[in-house]
Amino acid sequence: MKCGKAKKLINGYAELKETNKNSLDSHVAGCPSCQRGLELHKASINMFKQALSFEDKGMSWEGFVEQAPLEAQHLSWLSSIREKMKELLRLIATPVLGPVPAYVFSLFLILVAGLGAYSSLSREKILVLENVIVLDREYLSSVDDGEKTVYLVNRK
Amino acid sequence: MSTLDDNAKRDIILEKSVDSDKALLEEERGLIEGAKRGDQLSFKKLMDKYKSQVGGLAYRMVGSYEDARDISQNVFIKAYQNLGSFDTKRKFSTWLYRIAMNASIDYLRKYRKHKTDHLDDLAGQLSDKKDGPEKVFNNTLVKLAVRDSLESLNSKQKSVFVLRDLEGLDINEIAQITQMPQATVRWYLHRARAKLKGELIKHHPLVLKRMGVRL
Repeated sequence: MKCGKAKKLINGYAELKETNKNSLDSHVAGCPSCQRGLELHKASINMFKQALSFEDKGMSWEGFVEQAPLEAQHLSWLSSIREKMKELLRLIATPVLGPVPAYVFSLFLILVAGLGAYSSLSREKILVLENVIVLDREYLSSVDDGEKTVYLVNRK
Repeated sequence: MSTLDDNAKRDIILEKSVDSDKALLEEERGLIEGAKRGDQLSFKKLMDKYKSQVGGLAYRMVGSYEDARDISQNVFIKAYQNLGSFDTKRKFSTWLYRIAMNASIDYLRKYRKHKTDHLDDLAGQLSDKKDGPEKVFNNTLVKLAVRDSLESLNSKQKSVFVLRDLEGLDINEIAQITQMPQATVRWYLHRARAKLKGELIKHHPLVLKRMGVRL
């Protein structure tokens, strides 16, 4: 295993499959740089665990269990609607592919559908000028020299 | 012969633990059904069972016991209101964790500017007489470094990191709580860990050295 791959694997050490973990461990055993990387990884996670270890007695639970059902009954229907709206917003902002949220895909689909509808509508545009039919073009001007009429149209 | 006996004993123990798990689940389902019908006592029993888990998650997200209590209170109020829409085939703790996570994120968005308030807990520790002054000083430095580094994460990175590395949940359950695909959860987790290590190296190398980490 090369150091580049080892460094990538170190970051997901806890989720590694047994075979990957074994080959990473054997690489780390012979590579001081990756050894330091793994040490830092483990130590930093331990630091966070230690610093944010939760102690039940640290929290004041007095009256806690009695209070919530009572407060819930006094909340208005408006607040429950607000909560439901928030939940809906959260759902459309949820990432679907990598960090890309769901609403980006929805907007993209709406845009594609809009463009499709617009192009199919504009294609059927027919313009009638006296005895001339202008199909799928925009009429600009015409010049009549007595013998023939030249119509100027643009390409859409 | 003794191996056979051991295997039989292990099977009996396993059977018993499966039976007790089933009984617990049945009991919990009964409490949920009761609470859905409006029985406050059932809901209070559910609260009693899950208050520490909810409080712990909120504390790890916001870093203050006082705020974590308020958030927990809100979580159970929301749970009580929305219990009617809870599907009993799903896992109650996952559903509750989702409410707790959203409530904590809402809280952080609302009160992010007042992050200095969270230092109250640290100041309280400085006056703790049980540990020696150097240990208290070290703990305080570590806590400051941790809080400071966590500030660099966005809410999704932070929730995934807290659920996986601090709460110890598996990726599948985190995906259900955050309602993200498992690959996205892994991606956020990877980003969060890399960012946190980067922050610690850049802004708190002395704390790392005090912890015995070679840089």
